[in-house]
Amino acid sequence: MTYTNEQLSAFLDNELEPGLMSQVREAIASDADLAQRFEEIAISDSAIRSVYSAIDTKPIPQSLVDLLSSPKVDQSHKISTPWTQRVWQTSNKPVVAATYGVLTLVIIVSLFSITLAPTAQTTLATGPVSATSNLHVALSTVPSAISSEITKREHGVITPVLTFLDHQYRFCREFKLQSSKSGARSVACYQENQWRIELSIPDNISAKQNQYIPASSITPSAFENVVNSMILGDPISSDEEMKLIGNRWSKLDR
Amino acid sequence: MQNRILELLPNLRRVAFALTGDLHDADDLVQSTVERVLVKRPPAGVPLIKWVLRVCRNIWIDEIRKRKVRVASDIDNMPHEISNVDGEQIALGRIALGQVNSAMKRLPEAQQTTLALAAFSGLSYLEISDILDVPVGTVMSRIARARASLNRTLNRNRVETPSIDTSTERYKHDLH
Repeated sequence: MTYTNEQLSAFLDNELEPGLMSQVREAIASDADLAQRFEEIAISDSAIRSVYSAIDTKPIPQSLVDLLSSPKVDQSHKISTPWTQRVWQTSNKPVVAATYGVLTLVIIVSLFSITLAPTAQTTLATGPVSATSNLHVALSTVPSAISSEITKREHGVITPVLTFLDHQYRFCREFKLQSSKSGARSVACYQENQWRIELSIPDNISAKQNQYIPASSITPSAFENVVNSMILGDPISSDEEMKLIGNRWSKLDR
Repeated sequence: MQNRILELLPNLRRVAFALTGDLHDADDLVQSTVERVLVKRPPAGVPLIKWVLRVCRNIWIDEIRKRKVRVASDIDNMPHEISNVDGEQIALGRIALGQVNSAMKRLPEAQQTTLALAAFSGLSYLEISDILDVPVGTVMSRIARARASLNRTLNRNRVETPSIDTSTERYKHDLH
């Protein structure tokens, strides 16, 4: 099935109906051309957000602060456009720009080419994770940044990376799964007492250099964009994650 | 209401910056918007954020575009008092602002405004359509076309910049 640029753009803004959001997400994960189209849309959007968010580092003009601080607003005040009466007051305080905001000035005009990186072949199939599997146990109990061996035969190691709430209010975890032969980056979401693999791509970092790998695949940055689009609000903190693990992912006590 | 407007200021300033492409003009637009909103309060039932953005957009169309707004990128007015930042990064940032501004200015006003609202207002397509008084489908198509145009323009003027992913980096626990 083909998806229009309008649909991809709306997907980026989480504006498609839930069923279509899932379809598009899965399609991006499996179709390299679609992933590239989505990435191009995401890059130009990221460029705008990063560039124009730079105003956050500039102090609010004192005239505006005074206007919003004054106890009484004169209803008969005649509005004069500041182009003719620009009042500019510099702040005495030094401007301390957040490092994150400054770094984004440099970034995502991302006018570099979108290349398709060679990747390993191993990915996880989308769908439910067996409740009796080591993967289920690991997703349920292993905190982020901790690696845990789940298969001895191929020295399979899982490392959760990020925990977040998605737009369907499910707790989801991004994780890496690496073995001696291959690796995968995946996202699983908890629903009805079960983990479900929503997204999985080969992880080329883990692949051996001399291993044959297909030429086309979703790029890591496209994967990041998809994951970012899934996140509702801010990712779950370490403390909250531990509480979720303790509550068996049923709820977050706040 | 003044406190509520204060809470809306960050988003409003970003929208204004995306519309004007100039830091000073952006804050002037915000000033004009706030002055007008304080005099003419939102009608009953209209959320303040939608009213504020509608006023901002109307001021932009009616007054700002008639003036000789500076088109060139606001290179000289970028914040100077940035600590612990490499000078090359600042220069690259200014180049990035110039290129993005140039690309935004090439968009039809309707696309530029719709995209600015989508990127910074925090509102849904439906709410944006209410502000702009157009169907939701129009909002969706304007945003998509704007992004496509921006991508074509920005890719024609490629600048090689290092790739730094800061999307969720501060939350990730990555092992190397």
